[in-house]
Amino acid sequence: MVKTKEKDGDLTQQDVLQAVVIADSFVHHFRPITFSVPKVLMPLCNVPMIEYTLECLAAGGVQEIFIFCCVHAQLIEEYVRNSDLVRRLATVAVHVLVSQAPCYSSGDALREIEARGVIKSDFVLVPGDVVANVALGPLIAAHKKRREVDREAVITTVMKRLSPNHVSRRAGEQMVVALAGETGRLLLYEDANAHPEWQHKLRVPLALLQDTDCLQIHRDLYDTHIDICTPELLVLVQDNFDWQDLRRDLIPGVLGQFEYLGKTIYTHILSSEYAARVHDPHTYDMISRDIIQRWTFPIVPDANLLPGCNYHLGRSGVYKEGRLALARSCELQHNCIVGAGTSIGNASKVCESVIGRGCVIGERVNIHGSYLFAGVTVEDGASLVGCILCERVYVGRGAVVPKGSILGPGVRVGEGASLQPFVRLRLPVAEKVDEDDSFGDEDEDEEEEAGAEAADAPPSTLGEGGLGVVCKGGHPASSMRYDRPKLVGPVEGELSEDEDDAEEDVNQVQVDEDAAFEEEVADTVRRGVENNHSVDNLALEVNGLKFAQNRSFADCIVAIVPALLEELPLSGKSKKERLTEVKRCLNKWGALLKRFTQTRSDQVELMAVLAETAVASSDLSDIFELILNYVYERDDDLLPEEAILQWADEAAKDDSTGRELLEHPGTKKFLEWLRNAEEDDDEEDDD
Amino acid sequence: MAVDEESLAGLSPAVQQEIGRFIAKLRRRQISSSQDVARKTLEIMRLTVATAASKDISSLIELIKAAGRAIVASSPHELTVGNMVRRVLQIVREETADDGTKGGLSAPTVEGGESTSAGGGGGSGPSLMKLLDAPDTTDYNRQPVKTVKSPILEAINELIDELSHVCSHIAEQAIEHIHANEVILTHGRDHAVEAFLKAAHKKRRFEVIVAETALSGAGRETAVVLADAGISTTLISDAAVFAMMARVNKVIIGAHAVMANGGLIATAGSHLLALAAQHASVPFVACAGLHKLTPIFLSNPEQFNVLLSPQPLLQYDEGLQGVHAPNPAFDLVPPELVSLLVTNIGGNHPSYIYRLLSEYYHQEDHNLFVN
Repeated sequence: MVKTKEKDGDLTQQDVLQAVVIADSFVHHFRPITFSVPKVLMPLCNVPMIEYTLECLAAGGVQEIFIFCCVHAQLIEEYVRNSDLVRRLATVAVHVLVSQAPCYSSGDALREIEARGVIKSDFVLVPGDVVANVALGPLIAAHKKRREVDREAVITTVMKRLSPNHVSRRAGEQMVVALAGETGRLLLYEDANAHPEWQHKLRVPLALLQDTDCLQIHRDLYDTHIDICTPELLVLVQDNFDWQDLRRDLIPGVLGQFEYLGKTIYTHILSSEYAARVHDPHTYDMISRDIIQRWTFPIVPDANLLPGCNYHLGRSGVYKEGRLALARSCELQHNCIVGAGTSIGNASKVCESVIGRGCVIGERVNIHGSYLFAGVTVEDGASLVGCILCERVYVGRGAVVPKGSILGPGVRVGEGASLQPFVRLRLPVAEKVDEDDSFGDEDEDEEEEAGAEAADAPPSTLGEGGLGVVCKGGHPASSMRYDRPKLVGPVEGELSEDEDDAEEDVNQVQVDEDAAFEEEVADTVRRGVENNHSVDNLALEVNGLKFAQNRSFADCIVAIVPALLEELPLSGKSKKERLTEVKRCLNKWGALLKRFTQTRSDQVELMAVLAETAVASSDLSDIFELILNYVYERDDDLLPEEAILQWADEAAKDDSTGRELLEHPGTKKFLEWLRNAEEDDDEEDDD
Repeated sequence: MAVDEESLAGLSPAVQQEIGRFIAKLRRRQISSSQDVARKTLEIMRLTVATAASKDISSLIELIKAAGRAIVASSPHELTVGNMVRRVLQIVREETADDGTKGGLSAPTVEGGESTSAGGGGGSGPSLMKLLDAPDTTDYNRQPVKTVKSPILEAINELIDELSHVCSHIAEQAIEHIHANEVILTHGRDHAVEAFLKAAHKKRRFEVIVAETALSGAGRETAVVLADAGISTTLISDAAVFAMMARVNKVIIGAHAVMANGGLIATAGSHLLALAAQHASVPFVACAGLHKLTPIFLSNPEQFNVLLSPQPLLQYDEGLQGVHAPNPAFDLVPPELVSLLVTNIGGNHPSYIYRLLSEYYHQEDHNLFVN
């Protein structure tokens, strides 16, 4: 603590330390809550989320904070004005910047901040939903020191160690980060999910190894989204107007275009401090628990950040505020927060939950792992597990609100109703959200809406007197209490399953590449046929493609044959005319095919492709045995009888496309004849 | 303990701003030493008195109380803040009383009568007779602030001055308590204890055993500081405290606060230490400045404890979500385990604390939240 004090002194002598808080996450994980209130004002342990971010910044010695807001800007402005924020933070000046143009990403936000010209020196960039007790002073000092060595350092990102399958991570989050061990310079920042081939093998550009003698590759780094930035970053974002997301675009952009931009990014890894970002309901749940368990100390509920807040910590992590009406036999089991003015009835149990101010909880209610905002009413015997209930939600007698559900402000769940897991409900009409507390006066309205709701949500689920419609929100995996699969485990079965997946993925990629190659060759051939190129020239072109992509002759054959035959004008002609067309075509391009059939297996492949092409078109399958006969009788030995017979055997064995052709009487006859001829030949040879 | 915003309105903007900053610093734990907390509180009190626009003393007292309440409510575990507010209130009352006797005040009023009925544990004077005969009957309503303002400010300045000498005054008594070739056991880190041991080292040769004070590791720091000063120092783990106690002649620790019954709020682990000392009949000595003297009986010990982050106990990465890992900052040591309390005005037995309380604080100020 003494250290921070000294830091404070240092900082005041230099420029004013600034911070930018982006009060919008540009995602919709919290719908329907975020319809009426910005995410940063959502209560987290009964304190608006942005308070945690601002307190961390203020404690870190930041003197000027710019809160940049786009959606619900007015609400945020009002909050800053009315909540006595500046006096409480005591040491900082707070400015609210309202976006003038619509902003769809943090990149847009940064460009607008650049346009305002308010940032004068190194600044802290943080989203308004980060909870941290990081001492920023030393971080900023380290950033400045680094700038003295490397003038091109634009960002220091703050990360902390957290194992890849830690429960507090977002579902499916798998970051791969490469650092230069000596300096902490960030070399690679990629989402492993975007690279399916990284499941088991990581491909790292060779250049990374040249940059450093001590390359560190981490999968255990958790991005806290706290960045220490230099003002040049804003210019960089302005120049690269296509950068949207800070993580998906900006960091890979700066790293990928190092040769061109020459900017560098460094990483600071936290040792013991806590930092986490509320991404989605799942992380909301996790961070709430961490706050209750005091990982965020000194930013804890009993620090009473809000004015008029008065929480006290009792035994086993139960925080109570002010006057509560707790029935004698109700149990506040452990790790819960209960706001002032709340009453809890007999035999009710509350565990690992946060209950807002002025809630009314009936008798025999079971609340576990749930978050109740202010003014929620829960009637006798209801059960809430792993859900978020917004302001003024009403849960009827004996109703069950299961895991992962989010009920928007004012939603009513009727008596005995049982909701689906992961359901998200909101009030039917948007205006309704603002006109609260007037249900009594609008009985007719209510009925109407209840009727309207019947169309959207099955009325049986919401019960009698229920009010609310289903609203689409985030994926269940981002919801609370979603049983996500373990990423890595010692279990044999799981591992092998993963491998299978990986193989499938690899195959998938291979198939895509094959298709692309075939398409290219086919295009070349069609062009050649159309413009009547010579066989030599066309062969040269196809050969070029073959070498460029390191393909075999068979691969080329597969592409050439359909391209040749499919272009023939066959439809509506007699068998004889069609055969003539095919003959003419093969006469002309047979030499091309000959060049690409070097071995027996190529010949078999050619045969198979011919069959496949024939099956695809009824015009060809009719005359298949005639084509076969013609090809066999050709002088250049394009398809010798051995190849044809081998194909026939193979096709008969597996269910390939040639099967039905084999069944064709003509083909059968031809093959029989061929076999006999062969035997005759053999006999002749024997003689 | 809600903050009454209305009474804060009577304070000047400068004071409000100072209070806001102080509260924020306490909340962020950027001031840790209780001496710093005490000094800052006194500075705010000085500013409050200096800028007060009150006409009479009773409204000045209310103003000081309001400022004190604002700070105390925001961080109730920093007991020093309340103590300093009470000291300043006592100064105001004393100055007024002196002034009153000089000016020849009029007869007792109804308000005075109330205060006698409330009296019981202590009074404003040192003598029992005086307590009964002359109850505190000063009529603060009639006293103008103007005449007493400068003596009050002067007295506050003296108090701040006294605060900066707390450690040296405690250290002066070291020779009386530490004898040659003794083995002293200490625990945690406390500036007064450090000064105490260093002062004794100038005259005597003795040995110090330091318990590491796990989690915070404060004991390690103490060991390093003492060894640097040339004292022969042994560092042991907290678990070895009981085993070492047989060799120890005296346990000397610091305290976060001294409560009205003589009990201590001290670094976590102190209670264990005190019990071990009692088992081995080793004297248990606490060094604490008078600013830590708190006229409050602990009804709910949890209320004054601070639970720190579980981080030193458990790595976050271990992901043990179901594990409850409380990390309390303080322990409560009951008065019967404390042999001696060394303050900057001398050594006292815990049972004598009530006398000190009545000497330094006014009865009516013990609870700042009652008007």
